[in-house]
Amino acid sequence: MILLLVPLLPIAAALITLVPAKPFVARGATLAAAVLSLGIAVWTAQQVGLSGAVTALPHWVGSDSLSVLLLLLQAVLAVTAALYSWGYIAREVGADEARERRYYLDLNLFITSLFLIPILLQPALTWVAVELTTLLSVFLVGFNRSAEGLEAAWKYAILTIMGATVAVLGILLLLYGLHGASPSAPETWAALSGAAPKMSPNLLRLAFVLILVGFGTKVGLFPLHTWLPDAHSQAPSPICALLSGVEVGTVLYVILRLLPVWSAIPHFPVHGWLIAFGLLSVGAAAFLLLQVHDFKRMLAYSTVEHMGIILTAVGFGQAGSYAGLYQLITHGLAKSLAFYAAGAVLLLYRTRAISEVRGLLRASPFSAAMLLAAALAIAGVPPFAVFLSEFSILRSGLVAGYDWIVALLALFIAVAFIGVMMQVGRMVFGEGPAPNGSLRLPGSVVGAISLSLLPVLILGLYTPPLLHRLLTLASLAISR
Amino acid sequence: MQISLLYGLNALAAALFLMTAFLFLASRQTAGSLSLFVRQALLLSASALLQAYALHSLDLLLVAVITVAAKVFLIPWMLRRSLGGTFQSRREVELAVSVPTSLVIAIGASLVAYFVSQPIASQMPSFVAVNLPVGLAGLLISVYALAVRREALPQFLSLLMLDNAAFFAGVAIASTSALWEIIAALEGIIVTIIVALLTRTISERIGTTQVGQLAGLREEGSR
Repeated sequence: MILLLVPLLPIAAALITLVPAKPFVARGATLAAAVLSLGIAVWTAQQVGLSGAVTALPHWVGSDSLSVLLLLLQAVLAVTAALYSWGYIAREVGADEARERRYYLDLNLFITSLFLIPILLQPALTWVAVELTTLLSVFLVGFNRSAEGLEAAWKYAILTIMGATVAVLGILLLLYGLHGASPSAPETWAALSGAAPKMSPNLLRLAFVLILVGFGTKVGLFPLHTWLPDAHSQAPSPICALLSGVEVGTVLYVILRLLPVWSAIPHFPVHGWLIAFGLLSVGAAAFLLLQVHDFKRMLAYSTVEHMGIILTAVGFGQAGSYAGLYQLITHGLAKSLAFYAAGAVLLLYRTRAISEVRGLLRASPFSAAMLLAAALAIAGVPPFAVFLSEFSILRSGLVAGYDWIVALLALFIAVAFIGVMMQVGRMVFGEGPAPNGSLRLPGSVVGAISLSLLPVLILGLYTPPLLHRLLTLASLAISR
Repeated sequence: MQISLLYGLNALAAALFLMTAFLFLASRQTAGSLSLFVRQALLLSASALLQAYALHSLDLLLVAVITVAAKVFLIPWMLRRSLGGTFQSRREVELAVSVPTSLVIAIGASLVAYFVSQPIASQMPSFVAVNLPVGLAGLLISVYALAVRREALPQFLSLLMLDNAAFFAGVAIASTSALWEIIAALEGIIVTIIVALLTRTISERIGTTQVGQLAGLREEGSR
């Protein structure tokens, strides 16, 4: 039952933000709820590591190896986002305390919707939670209320709700197939996987297309990605970290959750489809990264690239799934670090234009070092964690005999590396005018960035046994 | 009532449902588009009601009642209340593609939906055999309508039509899950509140709801 506290804690924090008290109450409640949620997520992970699954409400709420990985990532990012927001949002809103409380209300509700996705055991309810992630983050995307921010919020809302509505028909088809195959079975993920071999292949194929296209829109898979660079660049930086670091990965989790169902379709190259969509996304994002002019958009395109890498990896089979799930974690951590560092640069320079940020190393050595570390991390350079996961993906592809796919994937990763490092190199080492904003970063911003760097470094050098066990169990579960 | 009559009435509701999707595509005024959405929601609830009667399903009866309450009364009332001025405007909605071309594309989309769903629908009971291809056709037409409309409210109405289409197929294929249909209906109301608030904020801050004119954000390759 303790698992139920995970979404309830941010709801409690959201209620506290409604009290017209000083802003530090809302900030503190948000941070405390996130820290407690992380504690419960870690406890749940340990239980899942021991017994394989945790059930809070049978057929309704529970967690297994795959979902707890995501829950851990969400909880870690909720903590760092709450800490980062403390000083960042205070500086953004100035003396407007009501606006700051509104931010924390929206943030807590958004975190609640994210937490719901991995712990709900029924696909239909998970779909509702996916819809809620959009609805509860729309006003966070348009928080700055500029024309560009509102345009991004509009595109985000319309395109992702459209995607979810397309996906719902796929889920309804699966439930229909489930009722036909096992009339008394509960409408859970596990029951769907069990009944899939008895369902009509035509029905499963149509459901696959609808769900991949529908949720693929929310994941930002090419060519359905157009809203992602807008939304992920316009939102305040801690929200960008949550959107890019964990929200898209959370929706990708829903697609991965259904892999055992798709694998039951006879003579259907589901892995081929995943590789095709994945590789297309990596390639398109890599070349768009070479043309980008806005450093937050650059990070958003990198998210499209990484989602493509993960999808391709899963297409390689069980070893690829292990590495792909590891990449889901490492990317989330590295991308949040990158957006936090980018937010620090934004506070200093008051612009997102790459061409207007030069000489960062002289202006703010801390921001420069962190931005550079984040760029190296997301580009997949050792000793950062993404290197380890990307290397494992390429190796698993070669072992599985996908030589040409691996060659293309490596080429696109190299192009993306050039795109990211070229832009960040200019920002850090280039010659240019001093920044417009204050040179002093808020303490919570410095703290959150430093805290975010730790797991990105540690997981590049060492994989904790519990994480290894969860990854193994999860990769076996989705590769059946 | 004879079952064949129920099948016939459901087929009539489906034909009218598809026709409203075509009319929506041809509609150039926001008030007219909203009225078509309401009529389509009525046809959706009529189909649910016929199936509830034929299958003796209390769940489907509940779905029909919720659909009428949410989509025929509550959502239009909320939209008129928060964005009344936009509905009173007699100005024609800006479209990216001409109406005749759009109608030809809609015919193509309907044919695609028919051929895609045919192998599945042919193995299913009669209600599904009708509702699935019509729902899928409505889904494709609504996605297209959303893509060619350049103003906030018509885009949102296209999204609501998309929701109708998904649930037109849904009431036939998942006729035993009333709980989450209720949640989905409640969520539809939340979607309406949030999008109406966003539209009003855009209108207040930027002075227009013509999202086609908001072009500050462009894909890198198209700059």
